[in-house]
Amino acid sequence: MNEDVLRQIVCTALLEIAPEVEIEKLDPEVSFHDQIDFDSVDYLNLMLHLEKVLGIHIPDSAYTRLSSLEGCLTYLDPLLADRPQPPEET
Amino acid sequence: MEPKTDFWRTAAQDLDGLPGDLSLNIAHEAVDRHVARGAGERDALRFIDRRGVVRAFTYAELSKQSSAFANVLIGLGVRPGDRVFALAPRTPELYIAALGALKARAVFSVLFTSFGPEPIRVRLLKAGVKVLVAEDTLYQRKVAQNRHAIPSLRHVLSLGALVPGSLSFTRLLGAARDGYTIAPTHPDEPALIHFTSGTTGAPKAAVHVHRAVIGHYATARLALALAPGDVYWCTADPGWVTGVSYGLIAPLVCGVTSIVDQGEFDAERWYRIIEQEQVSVLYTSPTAIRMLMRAGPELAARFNLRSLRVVASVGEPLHADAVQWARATLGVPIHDTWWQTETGAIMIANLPGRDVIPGAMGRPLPGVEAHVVRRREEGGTLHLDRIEGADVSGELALIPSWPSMFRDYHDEPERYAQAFCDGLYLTGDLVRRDAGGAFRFLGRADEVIKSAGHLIGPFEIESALLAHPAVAEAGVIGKPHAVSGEVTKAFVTLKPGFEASDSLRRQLIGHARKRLGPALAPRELAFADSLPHTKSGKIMRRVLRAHELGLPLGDLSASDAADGAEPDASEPPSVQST
Repeated sequence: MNEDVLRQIVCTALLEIAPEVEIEKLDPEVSFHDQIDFDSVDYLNLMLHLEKVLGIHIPDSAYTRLSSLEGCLTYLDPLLADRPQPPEET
Repeated sequence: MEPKTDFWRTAAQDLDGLPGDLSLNIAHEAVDRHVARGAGERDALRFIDRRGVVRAFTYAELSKQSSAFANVLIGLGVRPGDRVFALAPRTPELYIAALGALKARAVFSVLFTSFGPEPIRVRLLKAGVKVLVAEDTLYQRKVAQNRHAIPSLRHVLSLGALVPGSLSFTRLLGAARDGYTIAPTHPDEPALIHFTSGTTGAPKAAVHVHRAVIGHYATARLALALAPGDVYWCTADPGWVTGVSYGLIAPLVCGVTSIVDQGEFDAERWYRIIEQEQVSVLYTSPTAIRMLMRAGPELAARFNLRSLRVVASVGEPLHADAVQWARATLGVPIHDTWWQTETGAIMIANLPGRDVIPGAMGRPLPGVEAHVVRRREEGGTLHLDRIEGADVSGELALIPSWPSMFRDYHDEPERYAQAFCDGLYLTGDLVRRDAGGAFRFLGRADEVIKSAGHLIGPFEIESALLAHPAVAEAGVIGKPHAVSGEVTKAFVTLKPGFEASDSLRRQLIGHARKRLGPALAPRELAFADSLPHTKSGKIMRRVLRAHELGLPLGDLSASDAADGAEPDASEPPSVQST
């Protein structure tokens, strides 16, 4: 999957949980917790949302690796390498 | 049978008191007492930062630093009874500020860092706060814009960078003398404020007194089995009552070493902390336990968790499967405990050393007399009928005779009076008492929401939604959630000229999150053409909840009778999907 498409998917998921976030001001390297009001329930909901949208399973043990925008892309990219585009949302 | 008050009287004999009759100060019992008895070099608090680096504070260091902070407050003109609040993550400064404020006989409270600007403004204003200890970034994001609207706020002591209009906490502390003699403190002098929520109205500021320390000490010894030598970890945030009563006061009064984790929840991190720090007693929430369960037994098996002697939980009902999971995975069962912001300390528990009753909150502690009651109105006056016998259900009510019982809702004597009837404190929790005297939680008698161990009042959320120009009416309910127990869901009707859309839904959630912060803002939101009302015009959240969960409307009778209004069945909710 193209990285821009993946970035768009992650940002859309983030905005679904926390619509007030100004994506353009987000530092991709810094954890969500450290720059926006994002609690552990938000974080869990983000993981569940990404699982649903991308049709993958993210084990709990990997959650900390997805704590920033860049972390999400680094973790998800290899998993979706063969995918031309995300599955349709139902 | 031993009279109920003897339990507390016996526990009080272990404490020092201050010189002179009738003097008792929480900070002395928590810290200075141990130093005076030669235990000053024992670790009191071990802070673990996000990278895993440990910074320990001995009882002696904590005693000196809190004394220095008491001197800072006196120097700033703080008088006994003045309110000193903190808005900070779990840093040493927060704990030093708490103990220093108690030494100076100020009334201390912690604001939850996940609150947005609005709940923080409301709480600062309500309590008439004089001094706020705040981390610089949290202050800038959540307080600065409202400071002009809090006239009582004289000083902001900044942790980190100096923000406009603040003083440096570190500089003041460094310049202050680290010796302080606590002035005589009457046991019934206010010491702490903990905020809690009801169904209606703004949050309530429950006031606790220095005498509460007897309750913290006695219950931690009995229900958590804390004893010197223990390494204890209470995972609750100090922004909620558990994080102060059992994360700060109780472990220190018991003279144990207490772990403070500054990281976010991460199952692997938690198991590592238990192993590395040899944690013997863990006090946590069912939400955290469900998160550990999700992470799977394989992860737990990689760590040596044999140091765990007691695991206990609080905040919401603990399901029987969690108790079984813990036996298999942690090697010990989980002892559920029950108490409230108002009770200040554990009232009902599965005591360590006794058989755990899976799915039950346990039995009343020796110093607690609990009853199952039904409310009855007669001639406009509320009465309580005590329901005797085995296997009965009703509202849990307690005879208020324990030392940590709250003494007031700050500035709201009427609301305080409403919490009592016929000599009993009404908890608002519906319970079943079985033949063996164990209690099980059935639900709330009112409409507050229990999410991730926190009690959330729908009124505060609805008020924030109503501040949006598109919203005509709002009703907020708790909806079951696999991990956090319940999550908040809002139903809103729109003003003319606004149309329901996915974009507006996100806008409203974003609006609520900016004002309230993630802990209080609704996680879900749906539009409705109309909301169900009682005949007196109040929104019937229970009908919304029944509709959302597919429950029969027959379940509504009790709550509506309590509202003094019949449901208007001609007005079913009509929820749109977008």
